[in-house]
Amino acid sequence: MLIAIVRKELLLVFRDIHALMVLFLLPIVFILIMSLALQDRMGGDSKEHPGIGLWLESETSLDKEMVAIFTRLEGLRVERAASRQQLLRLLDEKRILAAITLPENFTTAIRSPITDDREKLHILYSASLPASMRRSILGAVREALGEYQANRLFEYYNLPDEQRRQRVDHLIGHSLVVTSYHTRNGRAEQPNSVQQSVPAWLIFSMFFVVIPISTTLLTEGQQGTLQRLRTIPVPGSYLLIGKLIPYLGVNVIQAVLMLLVGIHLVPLFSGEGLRLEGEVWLLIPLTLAVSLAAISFALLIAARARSTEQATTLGGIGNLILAAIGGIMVPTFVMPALMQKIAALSPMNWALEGFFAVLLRQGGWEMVWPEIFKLLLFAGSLFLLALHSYKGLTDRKQ
Amino acid sequence: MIKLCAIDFNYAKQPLLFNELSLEITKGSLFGLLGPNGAGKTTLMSLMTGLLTPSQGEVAIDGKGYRNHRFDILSGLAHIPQEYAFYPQLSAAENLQFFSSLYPGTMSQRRRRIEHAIELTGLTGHVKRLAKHFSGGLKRRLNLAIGLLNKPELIFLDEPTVGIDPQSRRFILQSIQALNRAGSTIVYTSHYMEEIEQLCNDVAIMDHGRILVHGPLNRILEKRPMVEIDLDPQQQPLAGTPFNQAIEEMGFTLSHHRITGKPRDQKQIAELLTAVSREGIPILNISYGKHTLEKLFFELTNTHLRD
Repeated sequence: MLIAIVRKELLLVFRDIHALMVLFLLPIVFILIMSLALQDRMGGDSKEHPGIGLWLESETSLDKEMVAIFTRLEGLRVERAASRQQLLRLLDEKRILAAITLPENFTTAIRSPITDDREKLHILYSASLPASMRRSILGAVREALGEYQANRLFEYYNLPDEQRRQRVDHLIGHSLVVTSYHTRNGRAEQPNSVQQSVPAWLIFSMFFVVIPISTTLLTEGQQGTLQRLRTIPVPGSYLLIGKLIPYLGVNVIQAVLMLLVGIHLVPLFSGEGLRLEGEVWLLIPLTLAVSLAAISFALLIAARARSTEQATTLGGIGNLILAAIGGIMVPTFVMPALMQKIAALSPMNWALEGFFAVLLRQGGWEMVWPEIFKLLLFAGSLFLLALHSYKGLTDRKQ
Repeated sequence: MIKLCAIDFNYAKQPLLFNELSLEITKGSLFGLLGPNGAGKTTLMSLMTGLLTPSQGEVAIDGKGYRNHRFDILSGLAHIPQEYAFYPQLSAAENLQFFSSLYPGTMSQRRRRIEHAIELTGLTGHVKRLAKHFSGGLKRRLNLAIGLLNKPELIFLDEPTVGIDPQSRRFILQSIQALNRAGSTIVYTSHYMEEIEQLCNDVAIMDHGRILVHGPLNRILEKRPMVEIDLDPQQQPLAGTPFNQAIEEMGFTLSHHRITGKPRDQKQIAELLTAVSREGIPILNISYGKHTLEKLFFELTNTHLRD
């Protein structure tokens, strides 16, 4: 009996082209777009660094040295402009994020204890540039100036180039700082944007089972199929479990597919690929727990809604809110403290933390089980509520 | 036998729809349930099929109540709702396979039941097509076929011929008669009076949650012979005239140049005709005899429009 219900549900979902697009195409597109778009913002070595424009009102040999320092700046691509107009055009065309003008005799002015505004280096930011990027660019420019100044200081010692560079690096801190990433197994590989995008958009798409589940359940109610089913000697719990099992399978297929997209498809679009490291097997119980939470949430919405339109609207908006507060759309680390506390209430956040524990932090069972436990508790509570509301579906039809 | 014993029922936050309603439907009958929209037919059917539970009283099928014998009752019952209660995205065969697998039985038993249902409803040659591509008639037949998969002894049919062509309608009515002849008790609702007259041997008319009349069809219609006399409408208005008063004193109703009523005996019909002829009003049409079901229906439920 249960096999027949499961088979029927699978036939229904795999014949619903819209559901398939929402469940499979939407997350693939999101993963591709967000992995590529954020690869430089969320770690990873992008092949395309954000650009800044540089125009020198005059060019001396010292200016050339300054330019050389600028072009070596970490994480920035420097485009030289031949004129102020060209510099502004680069900014208008969005080829650069900020335009830097080195005034005439800047390299002389830089040595003066006091300079007036006309002698200062000027940074013109793109109006839409976020504060974090402005701070990064300002920091990079100050670092370039510091390096230039340090070079000038060590000129007096007449040191060989190698020694001078070592002292400059030491003075401005380059050689005093070393960075790494905290992972349980101590491997020092930098997490990339795919590592963050794949779980985020996978979780988001898993929760979108609300669309096919509510469509089939409410259509059954509206068409009288549910009435017929309730006059057949089958327990209501079987009918709901019969919906749960196939969507568990759909969610697992989604998970496998999205991981494969992260590993194989994203690199084809010039991004970095997803790396599966650590105790990858933990993704299995985690995925099942996320799936149960998503399906129970969908079943409750479907059982409570009065029409397909209401269910898809409620489900869609519910998913968007859970995703927005849960760190799917905006990473929780950029949220203020209050929002981070609110984020911890979203099941999508528990799911995301679970995936990050495995994929980013290479965590073990002790890091993942609290998230799995919360997800299963959420799933169990909502499933019971859905079961209670399920009978009401036919009663409302009379 | 279906027995509803003094049942009360109301929907949440709604006034009482059924107040101590009782009804008995004998085993093997083809029972027609009539009533205007909102009369309570579907609710009554839902109570009989266990979809709803009365707040007072009990529904018993062959002496068993839903409270203690729910699955036992349901295994021998089929409810064929007015809506197309199947999955349009599945083929007819897939629908039949799915619904048959919800009933107990071996694979070969299920296969035989499916074949029987296909044969009885004339779906052979259509089973591989998706149900959403079916015509209205085929959809109705598939709806019926699914209801026959458990070889039910009791079948509830809620307006099974709505929106289909006369050929499909005839086929479905013949199938229902065949099922009844084979021993199934059938509870049938329809707005088509001639269908009920053609099919049913036992009828109930209900309105506002009450059974207004119930019994064997012939006896119901014979009980109330009716006279109708259509007068020439070109004559002057008759309302308020001494003639009108005389007609009403005899127990008849005169409205829009039509006299209607139930005569005590044939002698009273003669008196009525004498009175009309004395007035010199030309008679266009006279009818007397058994009610038609439609006339009885309107007499009991009035002709005003329902929501």
